[in-house]
Amino acid sequence: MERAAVPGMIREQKLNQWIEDYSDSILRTCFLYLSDQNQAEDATQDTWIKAWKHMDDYERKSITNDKAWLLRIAINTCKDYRRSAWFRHIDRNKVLDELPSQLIAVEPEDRTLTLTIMDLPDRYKQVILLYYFQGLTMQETAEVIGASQTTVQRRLKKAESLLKVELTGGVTYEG
Amino acid sequence: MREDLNRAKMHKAIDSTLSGLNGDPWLFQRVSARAAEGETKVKKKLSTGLVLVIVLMLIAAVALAVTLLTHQEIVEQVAVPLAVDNDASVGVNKIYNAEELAELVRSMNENGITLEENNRIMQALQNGQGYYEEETIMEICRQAFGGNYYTWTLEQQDWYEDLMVRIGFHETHLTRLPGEGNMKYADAEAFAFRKIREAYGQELSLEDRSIWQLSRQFYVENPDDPTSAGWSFSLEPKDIDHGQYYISFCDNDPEGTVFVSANIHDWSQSYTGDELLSHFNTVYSWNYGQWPQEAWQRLHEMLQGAEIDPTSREAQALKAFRMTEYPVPGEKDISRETAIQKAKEALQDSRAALDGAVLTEYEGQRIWMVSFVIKPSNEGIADNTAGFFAVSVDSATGTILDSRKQGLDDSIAFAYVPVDAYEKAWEGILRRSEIIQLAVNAIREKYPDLDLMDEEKYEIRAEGYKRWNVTFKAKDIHLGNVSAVVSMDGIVGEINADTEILNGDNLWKRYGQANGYFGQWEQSVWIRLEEDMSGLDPLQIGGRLLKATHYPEESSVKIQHGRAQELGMQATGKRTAEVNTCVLVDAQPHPVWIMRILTDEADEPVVGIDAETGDVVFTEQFKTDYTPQYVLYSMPETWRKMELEMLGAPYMAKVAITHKFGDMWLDEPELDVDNTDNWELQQDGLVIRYIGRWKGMKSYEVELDQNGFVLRCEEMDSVSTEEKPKNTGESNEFVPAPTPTPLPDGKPWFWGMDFAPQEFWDQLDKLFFTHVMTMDDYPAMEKDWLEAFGESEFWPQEYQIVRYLYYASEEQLKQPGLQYPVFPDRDRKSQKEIGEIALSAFHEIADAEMGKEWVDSTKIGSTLLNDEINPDTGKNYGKHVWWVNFNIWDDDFNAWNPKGYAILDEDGNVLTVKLELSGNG
Repeated sequence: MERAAVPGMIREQKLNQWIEDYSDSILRTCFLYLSDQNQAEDATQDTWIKAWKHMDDYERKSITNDKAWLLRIAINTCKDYRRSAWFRHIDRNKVLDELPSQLIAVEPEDRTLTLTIMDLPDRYKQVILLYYFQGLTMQETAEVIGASQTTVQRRLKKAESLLKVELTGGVTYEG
Repeated sequence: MREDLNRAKMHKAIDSTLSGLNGDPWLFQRVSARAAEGETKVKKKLSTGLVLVIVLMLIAAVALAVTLLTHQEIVEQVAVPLAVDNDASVGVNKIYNAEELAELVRSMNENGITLEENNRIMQALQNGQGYYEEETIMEICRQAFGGNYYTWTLEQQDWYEDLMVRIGFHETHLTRLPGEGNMKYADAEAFAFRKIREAYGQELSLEDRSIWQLSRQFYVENPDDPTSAGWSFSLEPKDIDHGQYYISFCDNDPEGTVFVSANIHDWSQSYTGDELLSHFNTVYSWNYGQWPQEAWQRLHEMLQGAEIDPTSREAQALKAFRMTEYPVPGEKDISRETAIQKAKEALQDSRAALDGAVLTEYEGQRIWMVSFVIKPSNEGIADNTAGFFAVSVDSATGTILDSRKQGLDDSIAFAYVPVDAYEKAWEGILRRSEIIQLAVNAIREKYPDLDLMDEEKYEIRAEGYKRWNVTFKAKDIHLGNVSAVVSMDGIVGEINADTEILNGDNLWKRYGQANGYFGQWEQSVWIRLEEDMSGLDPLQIGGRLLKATHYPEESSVKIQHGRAQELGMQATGKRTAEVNTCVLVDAQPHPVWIMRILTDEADEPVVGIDAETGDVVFTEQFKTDYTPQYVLYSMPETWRKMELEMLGAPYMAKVAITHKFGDMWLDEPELDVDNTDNWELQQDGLVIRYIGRWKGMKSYEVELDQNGFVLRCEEMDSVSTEEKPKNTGESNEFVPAPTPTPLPDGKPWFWGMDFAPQEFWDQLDKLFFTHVMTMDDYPAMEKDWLEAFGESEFWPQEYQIVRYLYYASEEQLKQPGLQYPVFPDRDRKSQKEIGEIALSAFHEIADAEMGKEWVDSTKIGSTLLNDEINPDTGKNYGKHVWWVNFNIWDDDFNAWNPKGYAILDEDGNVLTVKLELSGNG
């Protein structure tokens, strides 16, 4: 349903701006969630379309954090996709191998860490992606996943412990 | 900080591993062009391979044969030549100008092809505007072929792709017709259907197009590589009783590469109203106005058995749909067309474009609900007469019962249920305006002088998901922003108000509130800011630099804003993305344009351009998050000198080291040379040395001149032969720097913050910080507690509180509605007793499924929280609750993993208990 609350040209400008700003990060989040490039691209498409459709909600509710709002749409879209039987048998190593060539050299530990994040239970993967990868605040992360800040903190801590080996293994931080 | 390290590492890992995975500009152009037209998916960039889409209706092949040629001729003989001739270059954003569009439409009309009045092309034409080339051609093809690209035959897809390459919209022609060595289409389709049936049931009548729409694609990514050819099919249900099926496979090895998936809902199981609506959106689109009458009736029926979450964003709409019936129009009802005509007459606005019309019945009265969109006469100009309108028409008499414009409070049901049902459904649900009023009332109790409802002073923003965040955004720099968090049931929680009197240090922030991002300010805003600053006396460096800087009129210089930006971009010598900030600052001998430029190489040079000569005056590097904003609005000689005076030479040396030797590309934290565990600071006047303490580390030496400019910045190997101590405690590696600085009494910076009551701090004071212990001791304490208890959720509550405070950021603690661990009431149940009660409750629900032994093997972690959200309702409990987790050791992750939880109040009453085996959620 198109409503006139947001005039067409402004809608297009806004959508284009969002796409410009967040296309890669939303696509990568969808990929890490879905472990499938094509599904991630579809989910990303759906995210933009839903964002377009709900732009009046966006305007009406004066949402101040575009990124958090878009990520909420993306995560919910991915959840829908995950209900598909497709995801019961995915070899994530293969999935990574099938991606387009990386633009920069990938260190083995980075690949391992990425795979481990992809393998995390959803509840931990969500907070890792939103808080650490997307840089949302604790409150924004909580709002995106519909949980309290303490829940987010608890999950982050658990996720950190699950990722501990990859985060510290073989790497010494100075300082 | 530990979090920063983790963030940087995860970013680097994900960004490098997924660096080949990038958004696709072609795809997004299509999204923006098509999303409004009711398609739920759009065609992907063709080089990406597998594509499955949701489609519209196929039209009969017979009809195609009649119209195809004419449309094709129009496209090939008029549209494509126009598109090729009018471009100096090719790309995805090319448009037909108004004249070209008019010529095209005239040709179409001459050939008997007409477009509807509310078609986007016609609207553009009527407004004297041009339109996207590709979209225009697609519109003509849609008329010819019907539906969506992927419902077209492979021949039609191939023909269209060829056109797109010719007009330069695509670089490659990916979709092709199967050749000699490829599967034939009929064989591929038969294979696809057979595989879907094998996976999901032989009874599926996939050939029945009254049930499913079929999308298909054959593609060849690399003509030289036979393994890059593939097929994909998608079957989209036309009703909600059937599932959605996808399949794809490679042409040369279908059996070995087949992927089948489905999306099937079992409506005989419990479901929520949101799930139901979401599925209806999938089948019938988000465009409610286009839903058929039977879809509404089915939604109404199925909602009778759905759970409606009262905190759902669509709760009111779902209730309204559940109350309203959608009967089949009968003899006593006026026709849909008549209802639409009467409704449009009632609106008395020729711009009104039909959205939809649906027959409703509520409490025995049948009403046609007819909806219209009225667009502003001039795009981008506010127009109160435009909007989304619903007109109620009595289905028996044709009488207009009501005509309303959608407001901010209204839900999606606004135009699709009768007014009475719509209003009735609001019972028990607070509207946005009511939430705002509750927030206003609560804020006034605390701050009676704030005139929050004065539109000239504040702009009101209210958005809610599980709770409402109401913000009163100040329009006047003398006022600060005010916000309140309100639960869905109207309880006002955290209130935050910036009630500071305007001063030299908050002027910058207030200007930001009033004028938005400073990078977009016009020069006149800076001039006003200078005037406002003149009577103020800032203490902090940012304010003092604003006060020390003069912002001249743009008209006083030779080189204007636009030209200055061009020169700035040239100065970087890089393909630049954008000029992100740009301000004219007074300097000698001429004023200087200072701008930050974001380049495609991920660095952010700050460039100064002489506003008279155009020369590059200086180039600095800006490092996001670490370089202060004042370098963007004051001259280097000004801010450097002030930094030297106020922040000191070691600070400036550290910044110089970071900029020169830090890894800016990965946005990692600055080199933390002021960490005294690893570096020793030596200062000799304006020569600063950070000496690496351990073998293998780097040392740095920086020399500054008297104005704070860096004369020398060098890196060298540390001469130390001492190995860095091992096993100093894992947590020590992540100890945050001691910033912000402790309070004057030596207590941590967060001490006494108003997120917690004074008694909280008193208790904490008694426990940990009486004379002997400070937060600096925390790492050692954490090590001891980890050894003693394991992960922190197994710690005593008091220790958990200290851990929470230690790791919480300043920003986090200032956030409204903060939830944090609290001290147990000593007169109520102890943490141990709570654990025992919770375990008993867990036994009751989990023994049958998992066995008593398994339940007893769980390890209990518990935390008392101030105002946890109830996971069942999404509402806050409004009191302290214990959250108890039941964990099982996970060998794969070498960690405890929660398999269930219980929530109890402080008296030990069990509020909820759940078994969660999947670990997902």
